[in-house]
Amino acid sequence: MSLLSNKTAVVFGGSGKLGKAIATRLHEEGASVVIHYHANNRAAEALAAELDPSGKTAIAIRADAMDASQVKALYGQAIKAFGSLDIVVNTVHPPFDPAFVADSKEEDWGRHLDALKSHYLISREALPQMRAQHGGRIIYVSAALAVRYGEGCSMYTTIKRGLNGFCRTLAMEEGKNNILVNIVCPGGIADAQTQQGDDWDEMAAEFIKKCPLGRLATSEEVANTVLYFASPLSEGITGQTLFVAGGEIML
Amino acid sequence: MTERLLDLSGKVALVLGAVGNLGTSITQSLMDHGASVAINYYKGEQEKADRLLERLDPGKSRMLSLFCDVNEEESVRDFMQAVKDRFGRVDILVNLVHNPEFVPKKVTDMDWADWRNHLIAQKGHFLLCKYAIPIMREHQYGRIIYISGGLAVRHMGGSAAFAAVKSGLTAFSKTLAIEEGPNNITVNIVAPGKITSLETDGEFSWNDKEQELLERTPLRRFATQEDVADAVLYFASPLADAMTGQTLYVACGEIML
Repeated sequence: MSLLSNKTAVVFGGSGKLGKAIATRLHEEGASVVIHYHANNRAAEALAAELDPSGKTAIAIRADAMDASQVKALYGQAIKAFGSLDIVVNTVHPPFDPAFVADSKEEDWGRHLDALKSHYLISREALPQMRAQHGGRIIYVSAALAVRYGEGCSMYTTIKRGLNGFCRTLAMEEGKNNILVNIVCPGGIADAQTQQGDDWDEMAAEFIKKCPLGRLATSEEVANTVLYFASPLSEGITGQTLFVAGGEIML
Repeated sequence: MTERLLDLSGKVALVLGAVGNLGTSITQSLMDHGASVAINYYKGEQEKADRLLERLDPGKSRMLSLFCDVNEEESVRDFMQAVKDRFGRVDILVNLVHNPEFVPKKVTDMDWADWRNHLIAQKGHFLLCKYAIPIMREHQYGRIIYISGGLAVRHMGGSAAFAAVKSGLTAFSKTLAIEEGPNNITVNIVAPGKITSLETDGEFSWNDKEQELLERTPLRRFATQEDVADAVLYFASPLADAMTGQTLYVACGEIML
């Protein structure tokens, strides 16, 4: 028996590395999966074909998550294809160049505020169907900077913190509809998409020193905790955050 | 796939405090997922423990029931040795023993004896970890799961000693997570809020305070023993291999930090 038989999952940011690991895991556990992408159609379509060449249980759909009507249309297509909307996972946050507040520009807020708004839309547009089904799971993939601080990351931290509050409020509001809202918060990820440059190994080694388990978590392990929050194992759990970080974050 | 991700076969689990309702659910869940399980009983509990063993493992191939007073060093040491002799290893330790019944008492109404009754729970958990860890280290693998309670973080008048002990054990668990991480021994906490049981749901008569609590619990229900056992299973399983020093509140949203 699989944990997610007959469930439909939508993974926002499914064309990224972490999104891929999550979509793959949910699909392995029996869910039909919609892989959302914005720009990278090639990666999203390749992943869908890899998961199910017949297209019966995995499809890629494009949407600008900043546009309510596109998010709504994506959900409509998902429901049409698979018959329900049970699990929504959002991994989207655009990359940014760190900047001290003193050196930053007003317009630097743009992409961060977009990430905030897109999570709001992704959540809001899923609610009517989840309410009608009297159940659903919304899982936000946050980041260590939701609870840690780093020079040059003021805007990112602000948004991640704000989304903690958003997710908990949503958990309170929708609990009576059996819609559970939880956060998976990775620390450093061993096979991160962002790893680049000659100093990566050195940075990673420094980071690993802070992890009691002596290693970073993998994107597959982040996906495992997303699976936990998506599965029947967590039916009594909402408004919670789990840090998948090899012990680097303990609150 | 599920089978691999939740598979505990070949693993040996200890459940301390298994004869209670919650302990029984946890034991059953670990057994269902393939672990061998050693449970303890305390004075007056042997019959219950035997019945549990008879029900879950009639062939007596994967379960063991032994006397253990978790507050007595020698008793804990003997328990661990007996488990090792029988099953060869120890992989998972679940402790839900908190000896004294929770009776709300204001600080000014308390005697030191009231505090001592709660503190003894810290001694028990310390001893269990102290004697389980060397055996876990032999295979560079361990999963320690302490069952705390919502009162570790949600404070109310009359719970000073209980809360102090539970939050003390949170600090203890995080410290232990740091110490034993290099041995691939993870240490996590499952903290239930109010628990109801599926069996008693129908006949439970709510008093006003419980009704009030229910109304401000987002899911409009209390967690069940099975919900708590599922959270234990998560931390015990390969799903949570990268998780240590964490606390998971199983409280239907009533506790959000």
